[in-house]
Amino acid sequence: MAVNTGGEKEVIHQPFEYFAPKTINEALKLLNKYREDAKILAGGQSLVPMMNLGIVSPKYVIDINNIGKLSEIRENKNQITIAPLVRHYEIAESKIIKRAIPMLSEAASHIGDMHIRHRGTIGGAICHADPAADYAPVLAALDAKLEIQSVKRRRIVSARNFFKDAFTTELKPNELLKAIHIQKVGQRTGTAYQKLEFVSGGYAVVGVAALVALDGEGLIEKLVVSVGGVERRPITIVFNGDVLGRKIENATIEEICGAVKDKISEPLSDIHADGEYRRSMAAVYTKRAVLKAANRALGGE
Amino acid sequence: MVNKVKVNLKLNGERFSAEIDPRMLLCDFIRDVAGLTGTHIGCMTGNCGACTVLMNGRTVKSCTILAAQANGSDITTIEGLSKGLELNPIQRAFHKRYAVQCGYCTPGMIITAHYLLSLGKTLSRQEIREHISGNLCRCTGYQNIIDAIEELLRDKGLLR
Repeated sequence: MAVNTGGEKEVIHQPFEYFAPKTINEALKLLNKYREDAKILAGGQSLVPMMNLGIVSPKYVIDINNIGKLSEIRENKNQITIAPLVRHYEIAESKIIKRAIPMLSEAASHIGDMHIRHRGTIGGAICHADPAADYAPVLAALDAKLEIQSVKRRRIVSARNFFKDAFTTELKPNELLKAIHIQKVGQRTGTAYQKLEFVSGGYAVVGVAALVALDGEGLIEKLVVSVGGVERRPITIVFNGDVLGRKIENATIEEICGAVKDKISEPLSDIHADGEYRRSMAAVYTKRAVLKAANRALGGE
Repeated sequence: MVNKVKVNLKLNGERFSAEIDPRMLLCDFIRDVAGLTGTHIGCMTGNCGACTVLMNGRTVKSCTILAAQANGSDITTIEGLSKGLELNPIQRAFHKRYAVQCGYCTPGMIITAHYLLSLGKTLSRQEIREHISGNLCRCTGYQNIIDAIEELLRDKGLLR
């Protein structure tokens, strides 16, 4: 069939060379060669629209969708390892993740819409580092370990240090996110993600991830809260002595929410919500997330 | 001059191949290269869902995918859901319920409805609303669209 092969009316103006490597090594070599001029293409749910709009104009596009090894969810006794190409719908539906880390499935099921979840990937979302995206606070609360690989070097960075600024991560131009390692949460430990969105699947105006561990008497043994959408990077608070050992009751919750509010110094203000509103809502959603996580720690839903 | 890339895929059940500029989006490939203009293009930013097609059996927005990425995949467009001019059951339900105003979002809506029916899952009206949230109808004709999908699910005993 005779066909138009394009080139005259492409939406994306900047010409680029397209690579579809089949192995991680091949991808790393390309990345090492082209560095800042290259972009890794995973699900493309942010990158391709940004290219369509001319916001990002890479000269080399390295599509990693053909690297089969990057699409697995693996589980061992203490840990779950998620490869970067695992798509949002898979994380939302995965029995392994639902059972071991319910808030991760919860966060995935609220990203965009069904079509976007079919295509978008966890690795792409993390590396894109939109401050209003859902995975960042969840992974920060879980202290997930991100395995980063370049041609010569492999290193592990905690999700708490990975997000540097809006759309800016710890990744160097020649590095690829290779895996996400998450410790399974222990017994009597619950997790929950609560999100304020103005339209179904919208970006988080506020997204709060909470991890609560209770001891045999129902007293707080461990509490981590991470808030996304409010500042340029997630704000993570690992609570210490003041809250530990106390019961989940109104006074405790108020103190937790107060600590979260105090930690927010430069809240984002935009057409969706001003900074003070975000700060207030961060407290409201912290309360919901902590209560839900605590309930799950006790075996509830 | 950039390199051209070869794309081999299955389009509505038939093999199709072309050499294209890597910048070409899947939606433009479907419309301009394959000549299937049933797939509509609205926003080009993955928001509106007019360009929804099935890729390996799952709904995707074809403006967020490079045509090169569809190499080796199985794509179904609105043309692939019916035989010639004969309406399929989903199209008939949309017709009967007047689930079309200007018609621009309709191909994406019908692809999405087709996918929901293919899941074989029981859905409530609220769940239908959530599942079509990736498809915008700027005429705001949602009630009739949801009515049509509800009727299709009810006929299959899949309405909660």
